[in-house]
Amino acid sequence: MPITHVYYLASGLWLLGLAGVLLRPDGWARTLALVVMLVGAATVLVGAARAWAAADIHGLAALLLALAGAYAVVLATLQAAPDREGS
Amino acid sequence: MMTVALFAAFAAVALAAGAAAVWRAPTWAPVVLALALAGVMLLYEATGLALVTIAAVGAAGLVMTVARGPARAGAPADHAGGDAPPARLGARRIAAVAGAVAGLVFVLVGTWARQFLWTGRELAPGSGFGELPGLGAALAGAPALLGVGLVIVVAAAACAGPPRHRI
Repeated sequence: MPITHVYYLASGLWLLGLAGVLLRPDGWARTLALVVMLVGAATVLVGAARAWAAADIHGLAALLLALAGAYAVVLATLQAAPDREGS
Repeated sequence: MMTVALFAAFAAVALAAGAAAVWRAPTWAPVVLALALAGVMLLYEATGLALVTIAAVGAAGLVMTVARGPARAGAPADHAGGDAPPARLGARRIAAVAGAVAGLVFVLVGTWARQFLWTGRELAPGSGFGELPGLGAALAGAPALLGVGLVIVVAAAACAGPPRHRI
């Protein structure tokens, strides 16, 4: 597998996320777009790890993916549907 | 050739899920994105990362689905104004974002092409790089990384309580 393919995929994901962050007005969509950006960044690390044969980069990518997951969960909880009864 | 076709299929699904996440914000998008990226990572010999991707991003997508409620799963995102109609995006803003994104495409793809396309870096045939023991060794050799990961997990567990209701 050529190394460049994964970079194109990662750049596509990252730029999609960036466009979502800049264009979407609501917090929920921005959260998802930020998760897409973080996942795209982790995908870059996957390609870099293979290109340089450095397994340490896999650890960093794993940390980034865990960060994306935790980030999504926390923000989803904080942005849960508001209680319409009292408003 | 078969591998490249598989990669193209996984990449198409991942990009479609990313586009869906950005465009309509459905709750299934992170799960599909995680599955497609796990396939990509398997192709790039990152077995451990494929597991981490499914566990972290896929589980986050499931939690987001539950947090949003089953009746709203797959529905487009609500807008903050409640009954107010969603604000339309101005052409000037869309043009500015499109210009910024196009510039970034030029810089990112150009830089990566210069760095990697013509150098032709590849692993040796039969290399065992990227398998689960390698990831375990990398994590075991980085206690600070593990510490940061633990802090993230604890912070997520502390914050991910039941939603607060407004009075």
